[in-house]
This record gives sequence, C-alpha cells and structure tokens, in this order.
Amino acid sequence: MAKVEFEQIGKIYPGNVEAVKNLNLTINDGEFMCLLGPSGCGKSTTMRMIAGLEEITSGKMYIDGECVNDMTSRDRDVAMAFENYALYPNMTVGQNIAFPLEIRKMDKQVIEEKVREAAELLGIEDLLHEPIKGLSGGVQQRVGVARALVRNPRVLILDEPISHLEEELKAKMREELRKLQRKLQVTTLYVTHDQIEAMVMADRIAIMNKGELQQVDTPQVIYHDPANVFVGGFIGEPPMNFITCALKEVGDATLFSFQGVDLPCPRDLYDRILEKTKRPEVIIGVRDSQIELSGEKREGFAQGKVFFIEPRSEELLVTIELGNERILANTGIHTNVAIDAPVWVAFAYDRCSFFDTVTEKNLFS
Amino acid sequence: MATIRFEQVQKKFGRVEVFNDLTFETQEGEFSFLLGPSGAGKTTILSIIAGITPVSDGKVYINDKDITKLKPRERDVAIAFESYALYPNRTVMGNMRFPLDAPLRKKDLSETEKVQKVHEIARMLQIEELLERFPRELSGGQRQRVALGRTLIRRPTFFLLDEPIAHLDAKLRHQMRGELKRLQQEMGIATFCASPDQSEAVAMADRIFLLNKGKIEQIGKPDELYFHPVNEFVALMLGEPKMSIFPVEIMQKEGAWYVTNDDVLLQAPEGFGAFVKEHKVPKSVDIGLRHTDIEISFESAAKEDGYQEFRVDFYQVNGEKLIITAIRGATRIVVEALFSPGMSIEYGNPIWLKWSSDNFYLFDTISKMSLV
Repeated sequence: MAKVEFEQIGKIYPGNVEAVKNLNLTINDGEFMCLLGPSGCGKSTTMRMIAGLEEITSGKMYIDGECVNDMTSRDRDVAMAFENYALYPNMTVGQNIAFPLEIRKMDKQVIEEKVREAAELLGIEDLLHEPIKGLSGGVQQRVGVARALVRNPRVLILDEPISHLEEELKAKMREELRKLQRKLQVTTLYVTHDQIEAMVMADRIAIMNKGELQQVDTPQVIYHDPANVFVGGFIGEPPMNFITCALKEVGDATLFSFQGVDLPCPRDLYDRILEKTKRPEVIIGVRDSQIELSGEKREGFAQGKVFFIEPRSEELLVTIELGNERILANTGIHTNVAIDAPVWVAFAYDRCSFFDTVTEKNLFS
Repeated sequence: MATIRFEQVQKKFGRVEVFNDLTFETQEGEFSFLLGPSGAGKTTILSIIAGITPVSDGKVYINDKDITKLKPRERDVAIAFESYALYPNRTVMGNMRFPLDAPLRKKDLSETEKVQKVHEIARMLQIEELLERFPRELSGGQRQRVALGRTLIRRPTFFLLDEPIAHLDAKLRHQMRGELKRLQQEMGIATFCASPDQSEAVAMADRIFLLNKGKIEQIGKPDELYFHPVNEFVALMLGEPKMSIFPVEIMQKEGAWYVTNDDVLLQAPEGFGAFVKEHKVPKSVDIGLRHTDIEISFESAAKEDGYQEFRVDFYQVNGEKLIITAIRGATRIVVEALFSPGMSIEYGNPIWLKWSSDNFYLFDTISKMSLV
C-alpha cells in the first residue's frame, strides 16, 4: 500500500527522443489507476521508470513520500506482471511464483506458504507442480500476477496483462483482476492501450499521448468531459464524431455551419462559445448516443444521407453523410432509416463537447 | 448460383480432428458470416474452400460443382488472410495488381484498366497515397487494407475474408464494415467472412454460421440467432452484455407463476404459465434473461413492488450506461443502468431486481438445448 508521486518527470532517450515530458501525476494509496494511450504515447516508458527498469532523466518520483530516483527496483518494493509473462518455461508454476522470494533467501516454510497463498488468490493452487511450458496464455498470465503478488509489494504494475487473451477470457480476467485488487487494496498501475479495459477497471484513468499526460480523472468524467479532441476520440466505442464548423449569424438565427450544412445553434450556447474562442469557429464533439435521427424532415434538424446501417441486436448504428463528414449515430430499431435515403439529424448540445479549433482543448471543462 | 456446400467434410491434422461430418450450404449472393471463438475451425474452413488445405474426407461444392480435388487457381475464389500474406518485395500497387497479372487472367484488362482498378479500390480503402510503399513501411492496419484490396481487385465467384478488419482502429473498423458490405452488395459477389467478433457478425451478415469446436451450432439471420437461439452456447454468443442463464424450478402459487432456486424468487410474466403447459416444460430448467428483461431499482422501497434484493458484485462503465453484475447467493444476473453524473455505486451495494418483460429463454438443464 503506497502513494506514488511523479513530479515533473521526463525521459529522454539517446538521439534526443523525448519519450515522456513533464509528467505530474499522483497515484493514491490503494488506487487502481490505468495508464492508457496508443502505441508510443509514453505509458510503457513511464511504467518502466516506476519499476526502475528505466532511468529517470529529469524530475523526481516519490513512493510514500520517499524519493526513489536512485533506488534499485528491488528496494522500491514495486512488483510487475509482464505483457509476455516472462516466466521460466522449464520451471513449475510453484517455482516461478517462489522465485522472487528464493532470491531474497527467505525461509523455505515461509516461501511455501506465501506461494500457496498467492496461487490461491489467482485460482491456480492445483497447478503448482505443472511446468509452465504447455499451459495456456490465460493460466500463464495468472502465474505472472501471482509471482508479482507473492512479495506483498507496495506497488503492483500490470503491463497489458490481458492483451494476448481471447475476448471471452479477457472479460473474465478484467473482472477477476479488479476484484482481486479491491480485496488486497494494493496500489496498482494497469498499463493498456485498450480503452475498454481502462473504462471497465479503473478508479481513475491517466491518458497519455506523445509523451504528455492529457487528462487524469474517473472513467465517467473522462467520457463525459474529455479535456481535448484526442481524449474525446480515444475514449468510447464507437468513437466520438468531430465536426469542424464556423459560427454563423443569419438575421436573428445563430448557426453551426460546415460544408453546406447549417445546424441551428441556441443563442446562449453560441455566445458562450464565442466568448471562449474569440474566433467564429469550433469543433463539435458528439457521440453516437447524443444524436437524434428522424426519417422525416423536422424543424431545426439538418439533412444528411444514410451511408450504412449496422444492426446491433437491440438498436441500429447508422453511418450518415452530413456535408463531407461521415458520422455515426445510434438509434432505436424502429427509426425510419434506409441506406442511401435522406435522414434528418440533431445534436443534444447539452451533452456534446466543444473544442477550440486551434488548441483542440475542451472549451467548457 | 454462387453457393458453397460442404458435404460431410472431415478434417484432421495428424491425429487432431478439427471437424467431422461438417455439412452446410450458403445461399446465392449472400454475405455469409462464420462466427465462432478462436480455435473453432473458421480459418480451416476458409482454407479448405480456397483449396489451400485438403479435406480428410467428404466433398466441397461451389455452385454445385465438386471442387474437392481442384487446385486453388481452378476455384475462382479470392481470399484475404488475417496475417495479410503480402509480397514483401512488391509495392502496394504491385501487391494489389498481382491477381490481375496472373497467367490465367493477365489479358483480361488493359494496363491502364488495371492501374485504374487498383486506384479505385485503394481509394475506397484509404490507402491510395501508399501505392508506392513497400509492406515493411506500413502499419499493421495499412497492411491489412492492402491484403483486403488485393482480394477485392478481381471479380471472383467468392470472396473469402479471414478476420479482414480485426486490426484496424475503431473508427476505421466501423467505416470498413459499411464499405465492405456496400461493395459486396454492389458487386453482388457471394462472401464468406470469418471472425470471433459477434458485433461484426450482427452488423454485416445476411446469415450467420455459428461454429463451436468444429460443429455448427446454428445457421440463420442475426435476429434469428438473437431471439431464437437453439441452445445456451448460441444464446451466450450473441448480444452484449451477455444473457444471464441460471438453473431454476418452475412453480405456481395462488394463480401466479414463479421461477425459483435456493437464491431467488422471480415472478414470471403473464402467459408464462400457458407457455409452460403448451410446451410441456419440465419443472427444472435453465432460464435465460437479457438485461433488457430486468428492471432495477436502488431504492429499498422497491421490494414492495415485487423487486428482490441482490448485491452489486461488479460493475463496468460503458459510455452512458453502467453494466452491473448483481448477485444473490450463487445466482448472477447482469443488468444495465443509465449512468447519471453524481450517481455513486459501490461494490456490495444493494440493488433490487424485477423480471419485467414478457421475454424469456428456457433451456434443458442437461442438454442445454432450447425448450422452444
């Protein structure tokens, strides 16, 4: 159980590659934090810096208030379960789990007990005498986690632990790992590129892109109030739709205007946006569930054309061509839509996000 | 008459039997979807159709013609592999036009037409600016699109697609579902697509062939499999979140019908009694309920209204919704709640459940077959 703090952490690789820039982040005691981002965002480098596998170029890292920059991995008491398991194939499950304790020359009785405990936590106590070679990916992953937990570490790092598993097993392991962490209350950093995993499991998500931290918050806040275009587009399935539009006034009417399409915009929203951007343009971020569709022309709706309809058992996901944009909208099975037919569209402005066209930051969060 | 027929096909790899006595038929011009978990045999089936893998026994027909012993080039199918299988020393253009330059076909189109065709398909797949690159310079998603492009460049009798869009990012994947389906409909070319992704199957298939460990569990339109699954495996395969299935006893008390076990007592909807009698449903069954069949409440007053108390065992934020696994004793039921900001939910919190729809699925406890 420990609190981890990053203070202006930076990592530069030879050749001046800045992998992590000015990272300020706190992982609270007992928290399940997901470090999320696409390939190359800096999450793996950050994780390796906590583990002590990578040197910190600048800034300070604290575990429980103690600066650990110059401490070895072992002394930091941080344990890690690797993406590729990194198990000794010719040793048994039990021997692999025992390894971190063996090298610390602990008492044999104590080791046996701790190994059994860890194995039980992961439901693999019956496999202690099986060699690793020949065990399925799912089981090997459990062994990796058991090995990480056997030392009762202060901080547990899980490095994309379920990325190689099949979908059904992934769903099961997400639940199991989360419940296990809750039971043990160990401060956990879960590194992944899969936003579903982060949304399902995290107390808070720290989302990174190009070496920089974009936003840290609970899954719900990140979903409803993304800090910028990148976060909005990364979180949520199907992905958020983005439309860059001009703010236009025609007589008394205030409009969002793009590629020949004019969407009515309430006057007060219009004024609020203009006040923030100081420019008559904005990026609307609207999710599939925030769009209303109609098969008939309606007042205040803009006309588009249906490109494709993806049936989903209890609803439809409709791809609509609006201007030159293609947007995804969710609607009930009974909505009157047909491929290549016209469709009328309105956005739920109270739930959409609005981003600055230059900085791409959320105007109102 | 672009149809594929398998007749009692057996396939063994050494001593490992992937399937035995596999028989099915696709329909003309159909977008058939082979859905099943990893290892079910989907890739093997596609390889057999393409002629890359021979059958151990049985026959394969395309358009009622026995092609079991024909070589791949004699079969007029085009296959896109999950692993791309691109020619590393050819550019994207070279890879995509390769089928058009094949000895049997190279005179079918002029040089200009071939280049035009490549541009057309590349544009649709959003890889037009990559035509001069080599596979090693491309990302996984780009390579996947090149592989797909190479498959789509001809007009074969059949398209065989093995997880064709699995490695694309979410936005592109949705886009490609539309493009592929539209293209297939425009070209009118029968397609057999394999994937473990049920949402893909539901989105694209005319009919789904559901495969489990080498055996076809059910064939039908997505709606048929969703609303009329023949067994528990099918029921659990389609729909997200999954159906909750648990064993119960059917009971009648003072004119009302209930399903019950050691943990729960749920009142059945009207018409349940009549249904049970008509179909001679046994007393002990497995009942299946979808999250849409259950109403929930976080207020304890709900118990006056026929709700029963469960506990929150696990929950997941799914965009605007919360998917909650409610547990009572050994019985787990998955429900959905609309998430409102400021809503707080904790593991172990009480949650009240009521079976509120007319819908239910009943399965035999031993055979797991549907009792309808």
